[in-house]
Amino acid sequence: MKKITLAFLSFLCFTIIANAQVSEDWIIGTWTTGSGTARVKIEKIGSKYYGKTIWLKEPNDKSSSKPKLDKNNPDPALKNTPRLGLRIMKDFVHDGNGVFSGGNIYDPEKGKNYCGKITIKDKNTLSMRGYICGIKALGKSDTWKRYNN
Amino acid sequence: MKRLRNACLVACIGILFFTCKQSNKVTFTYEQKSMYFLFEPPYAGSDTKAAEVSINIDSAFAANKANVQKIDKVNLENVSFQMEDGKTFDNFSGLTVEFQSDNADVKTITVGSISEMAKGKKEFAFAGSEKQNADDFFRQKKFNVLLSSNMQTTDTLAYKIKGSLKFKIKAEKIK
Repeated sequence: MKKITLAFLSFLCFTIIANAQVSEDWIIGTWTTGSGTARVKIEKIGSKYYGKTIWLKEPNDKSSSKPKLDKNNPDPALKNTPRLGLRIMKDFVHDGNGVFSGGNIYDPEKGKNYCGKITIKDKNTLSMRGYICGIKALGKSDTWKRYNN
Repeated sequence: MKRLRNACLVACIGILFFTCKQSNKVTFTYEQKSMYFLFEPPYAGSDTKAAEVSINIDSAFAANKANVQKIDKVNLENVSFQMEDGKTFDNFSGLTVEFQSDNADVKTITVGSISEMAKGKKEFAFAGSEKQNADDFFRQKKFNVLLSSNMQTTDTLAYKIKGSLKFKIKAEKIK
């Protein structure tokens, strides 16, 4: 009887642990940013993860009525890059248990790059933290929700 | 008077030093031709295709008497794309070129982009960014070129694009 109880408890523990583990692939897909003004498609290229803007609530520039461009980019050669399709997350590597780091996040509104850390909360929620490289305390977090068609 | 003479002397030494330092460098171009990107029947929206590039860095540097261990800067000077099979770029809205590597220490860089694409054209060429230094990619000898575009409509046909890159390299001369 004792053996059966032990086996059952072990099985229960194993099931709970297995369910609690986050799959690396959960990050792949389309996510809506916290403000709801953009959707970002995260994909794997080689061994790293990347994200690009595939939808904008306001895709056109108010003054010109033309599609928005990355006009705040500090690199003059890239100021004409369309905001739609712009890769804003680059080079993220899975550290384990749903945490991704080593990459950077680009804020096209400011034209600035930040170091980033992504934490998968559950299959449909992730936390995106952007911070000044080298100073983790100086940053901002945003919660993204999975977008399902 | 003495001050002026000293200032002139310092300036001359500076110019001489700068000239010697400059002459120690060599600048040359390297072309990477025939990269192919296949956009299989695309869906409307953003799409990215990759082509692997292998750089024969040793022979390129040897031919230009440049020290492969002492690269100053590698810039993408120019990039061009040619649509194969008689098709046009009409379904493409903008092109962005990035260099990507699987090496965690080498960060992806965007080296060029074009937003306005005239209708009916079968080829496009544009200047690369002077700010982005691609020397980390060159040192690795092998990396990926990512070509991204927004497809305007879903298509039933595939697009095959031939790309070529022209790099401007500055490195130390082999003595």
